[in-house]
Amino acid sequence: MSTLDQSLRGTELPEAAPPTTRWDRFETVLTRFSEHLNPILVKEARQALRSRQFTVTFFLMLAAGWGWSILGLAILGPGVYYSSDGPTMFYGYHVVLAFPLLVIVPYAAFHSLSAERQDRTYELVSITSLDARQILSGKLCGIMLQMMIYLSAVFPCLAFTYLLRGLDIFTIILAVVYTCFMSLGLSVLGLLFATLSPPRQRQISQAVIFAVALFGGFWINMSMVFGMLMDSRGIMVESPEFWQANLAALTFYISGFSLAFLTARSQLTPVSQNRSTALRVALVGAQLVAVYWAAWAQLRWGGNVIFGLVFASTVLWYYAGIFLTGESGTLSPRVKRDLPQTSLGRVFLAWFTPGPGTGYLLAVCGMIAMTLVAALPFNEIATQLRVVAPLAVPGPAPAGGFRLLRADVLQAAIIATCYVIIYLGIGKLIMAAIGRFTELRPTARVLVHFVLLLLGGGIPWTFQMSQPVLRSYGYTLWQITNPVWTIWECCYKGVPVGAGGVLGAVLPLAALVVLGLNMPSLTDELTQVRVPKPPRVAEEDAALAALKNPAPARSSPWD
Amino acid sequence: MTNGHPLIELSHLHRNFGRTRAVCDVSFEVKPGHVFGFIGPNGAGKTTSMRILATLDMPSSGDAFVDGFSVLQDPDRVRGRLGFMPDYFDTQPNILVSEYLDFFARAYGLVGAERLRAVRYVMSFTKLDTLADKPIDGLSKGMKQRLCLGRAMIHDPPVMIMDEPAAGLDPRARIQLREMIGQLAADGKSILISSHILTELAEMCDTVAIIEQGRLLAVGTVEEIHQARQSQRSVQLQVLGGSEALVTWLGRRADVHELRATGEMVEFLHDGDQQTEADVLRDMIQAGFRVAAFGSRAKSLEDVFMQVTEGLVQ
Repeated sequence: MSTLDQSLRGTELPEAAPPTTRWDRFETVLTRFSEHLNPILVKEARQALRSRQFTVTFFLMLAAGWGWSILGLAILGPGVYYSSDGPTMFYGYHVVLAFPLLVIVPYAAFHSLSAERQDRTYELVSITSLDARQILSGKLCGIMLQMMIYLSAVFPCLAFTYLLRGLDIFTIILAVVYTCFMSLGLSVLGLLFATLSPPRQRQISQAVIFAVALFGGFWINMSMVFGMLMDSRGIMVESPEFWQANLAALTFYISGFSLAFLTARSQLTPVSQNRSTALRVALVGAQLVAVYWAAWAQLRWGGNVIFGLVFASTVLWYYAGIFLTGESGTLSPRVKRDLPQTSLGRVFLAWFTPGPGTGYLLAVCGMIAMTLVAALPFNEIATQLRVVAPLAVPGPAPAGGFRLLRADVLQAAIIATCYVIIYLGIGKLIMAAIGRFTELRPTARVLVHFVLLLLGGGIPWTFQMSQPVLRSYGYTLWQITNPVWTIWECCYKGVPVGAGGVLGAVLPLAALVVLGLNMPSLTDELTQVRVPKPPRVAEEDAALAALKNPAPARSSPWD
Repeated sequence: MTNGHPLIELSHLHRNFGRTRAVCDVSFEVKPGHVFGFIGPNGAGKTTSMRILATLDMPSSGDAFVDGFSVLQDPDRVRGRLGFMPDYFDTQPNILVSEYLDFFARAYGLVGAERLRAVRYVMSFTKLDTLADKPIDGLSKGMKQRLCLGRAMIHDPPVMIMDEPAAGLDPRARIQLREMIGQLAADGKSILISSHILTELAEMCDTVAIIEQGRLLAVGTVEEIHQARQSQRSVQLQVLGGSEALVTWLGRRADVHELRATGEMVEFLHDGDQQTEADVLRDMIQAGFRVAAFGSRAKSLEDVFMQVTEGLVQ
């Protein structure tokens, strides 16, 4: 029996007096509710609300709100009764609200985690029962609480603008909602930035870079709200396009937010645990969102909008692939405990298990899936099936009947896929070779890919630009190793005349060779099997399961 | 909970930082209710080993276990079973002592009355109850140390790891801390403690491990290490009429080392036990020396430490 058990057995807490008033009962309910709150939220709320930064910001907001009310009304004078000055007053209040929300709150989020990691306070929290997800979500909840309090400081002022002419409630709500979402997004980026923990001497420059980015975000928000307020047409609530655009923005926001949150979480999770699968699922989710909206835009506007998907997917999978192929090739026994067991599971879920080979496979599969989807003749499908016909641009029926795939998009997407396979594959082989002699840090892995891209793209570009004869030709076959220029050319100008045949023959061949060279390590990863739990873990799990589901009591002597 | 296995187990633990071997093939076990002292010069690898046990660092090879769970494979299960008191203080701003303990109680999953009782008990155990409403950044070093102990034991873990808990404390605070540690061990907790104050460790610990340059030089009770190292006893005597002749006489003996003489006082190290010491005294008297006083003592932990280590730093 342990110290606490023994001692606690003897010390009973004094009986709390039963609640008599309504307020007491309400307080009891609140206390019970607080038991279910994230501990980090409770701590952050206690600390943040007592901090000088919060007190000063809150009172400055109040003062600025009152100041602008008096100053604005003095400037507008009697005109406030009949002229459309609501937007002017609102814009002033919005500046008062947006500065703390878009600069102070995200910076506080960044500083909170960064400072905790620097002075090792985070270590003490990390060894509690809280996992990285709970710590990050607790911090985000604390941020939302601060946002709500700051919002409450200017809420009466915002309500006041509704009484003025020239401003509807919808515009006010929309501007505030956009700003809150932006604040939360910047805060999660701040947390992600804080988890990257550069050496001490670079932490100041990291903080400065983030602060500059926040001011950039503040300026973008100001411009956006200014545009909303000055648009004479107002918010087009009746237009389906308005709602579709907002839905698109929301899905991209959720997808980006999840990626940033899960990346931060994986940075804080112990290396022996699975830090990759959730992030891979989020990457696939981001790809699906991009595919959906690219298809929607293609159906809506037609033309070559779909090439945007080719370019965006290439950037997404190449960038993600740099990190995925940099993962450790040796799976920890903890990760091996959860590997898929069945053949079907290995086929469909292996891409999501950690490892450089499976990461490479995921990036390649993502690109291939994008190629097949992007090359679909969306407008023709819509016309033929008449499913989404109202969205499709009406046009003449394609000559020669129904096409299976759009050749121009297919060609560009195949070229982009080949580049991803080649560059990620060569980078992975180089890292595997270096990894035999020394352990590579994540920054070194990114550097390997960056140098590779720089060599492949920079050398032919420099060569062509330095030759007066070649300089004026635009894209030439000298740029075959330059993925950026080649993909850009294929997406926005079409596959270069005369180079198409060479690109179409050389790149897939090179991609096949690189893929083949990576196959042995990939096979090694795919053939790994699940390991059983250590006996101590199995013993505890069994005890916990028995505690949850106790054996049924005997109800008769024959049981 | 323990099923007879040791609560702490280090198995061939290695930790390299580049070319520096911070910890090299360290293995030992700590049983329930035992206080295990970890001693070594600065940079010997004590803190690194403790951080690995606390799941704050990863071994390069080997493994460490807490209550049978690997720190490598199941850090989440290990964390709930140990309380770690590092060699630095928490610097959380704008938080009171009671709120600080309440936060850690919540973080370890204690809810409702259980949490209130744990906070109340820990504050009483560490004698912090009068400081409940004080901000933690206003506490003295001794109070902060007690708060650290309180935080480490708030969830009643079976294993406690304390890195230099007595560093910088005044004598009174040290005695109080020693009493608290003794009480925790008496309640069946396994305690791994490192300290530079060897006399205190000797009083508190059932077992000690001496580490230098990442290598474990000796493990066992002070007596066991002493015996394993062909222990020597320190002998002091007073000889009337000058010590020169006695020093010459003693210098011929193979079992006498490090002879020092000041006036009539002579001091030396002797290989052997009390029986052989008595033989030396008899021989001296038979040789005609007028021995007025004769005394000896077994080696202290400090003597053992000085004998075992060489003061090497990586």
